[in-house]
Amino acid sequence: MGPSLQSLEDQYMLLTQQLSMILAACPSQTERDQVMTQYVASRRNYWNCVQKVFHDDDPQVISLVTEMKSEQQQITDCTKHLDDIAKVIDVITDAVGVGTALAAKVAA
Amino acid sequence: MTSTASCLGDYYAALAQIVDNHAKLERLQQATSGVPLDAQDQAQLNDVQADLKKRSEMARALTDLAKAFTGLSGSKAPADVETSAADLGTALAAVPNMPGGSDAATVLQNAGKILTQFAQERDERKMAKSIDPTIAALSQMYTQEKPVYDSIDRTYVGLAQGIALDLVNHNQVDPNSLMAPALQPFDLSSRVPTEQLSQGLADYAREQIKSKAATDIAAHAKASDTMDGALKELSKRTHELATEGRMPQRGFPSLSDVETWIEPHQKQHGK
Repeated sequence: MGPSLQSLEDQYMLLTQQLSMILAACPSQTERDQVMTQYVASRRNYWNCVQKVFHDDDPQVISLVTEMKSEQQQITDCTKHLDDIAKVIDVITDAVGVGTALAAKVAA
Repeated sequence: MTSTASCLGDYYAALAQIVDNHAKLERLQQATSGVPLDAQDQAQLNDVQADLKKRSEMARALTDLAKAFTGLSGSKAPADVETSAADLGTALAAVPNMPGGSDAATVLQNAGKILTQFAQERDERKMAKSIDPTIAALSQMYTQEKPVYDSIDRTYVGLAQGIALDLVNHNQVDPNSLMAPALQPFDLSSRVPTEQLSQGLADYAREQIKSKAATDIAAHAKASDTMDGALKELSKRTHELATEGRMPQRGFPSLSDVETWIEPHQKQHGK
């Protein structure tokens, strides 16, 4: 249960810390809704995993965990360039998508 | 065994309280930031809370059995042992993650009479043998799940910190408590002269939030380490009594770190 849950916790907490700043940079409600949708998906991925039996030895899970770490870094980097909010939303959407794949894999 | 099992029951109840608090934070986050929250989110947290409550009930059933073992002089004692063993078996059956839990549950549900006999004969070794696999499984499950317990605590504190910092940034925090150390000795309370917190006070509030969050997370990590160590020691001792017929003389680890962490959550729960 180690790295899988840790990756999902890191993503959920990173977005929690950055949420207010990212929302403030959104020019319209459409972008804000997109960010909120990804944030809620990240939170659900985390809580889904809390209850599951994890299979950290599964190579696919290990690969997804590595990918998650790279995506987390991209979120951190892109929040320094909030002027391009469309790109920020794309990066968050990709990262949460990897988290959803990880949560599904862990839950399988 | 009684004090460790009792402390474990309180620990799980406190962790269930943390999940309840997390649910309240998500509701607050919806109110302050508009983060969506629906029945699915509430159900997720309810499920996690229910799982932790099952673990708490299991630990309390073990506490009752340990008490029944030690209270054999009472006239009701044999019946207590039989009932407590059956209750523990039922509680174990409700925790799917327990290693070998279903086997232990079946054995204990039907072991009441034989345990009572061992207890009446004062045969501690046979009593230890009968409970040894359950204690070992309980300790193993705690060790396996400990990263999840630590994570649940960290995300609760992390979410609270995120919301608290937002409230400071939006000037929705009363800094009175920050000024109290200077004013309380003179029975005075503070008054903020302007609508906006000064930069210095806002920074001080942020610093306090971050510092307290780090302290709380460290306190839980220490408590869960201590609980893990105590369960391992209990398992070792029970096994030694079961196999060698004697209890080791070494001192039992203190549970004070766990009790200190549990206390505010028990108060909140009204215990």
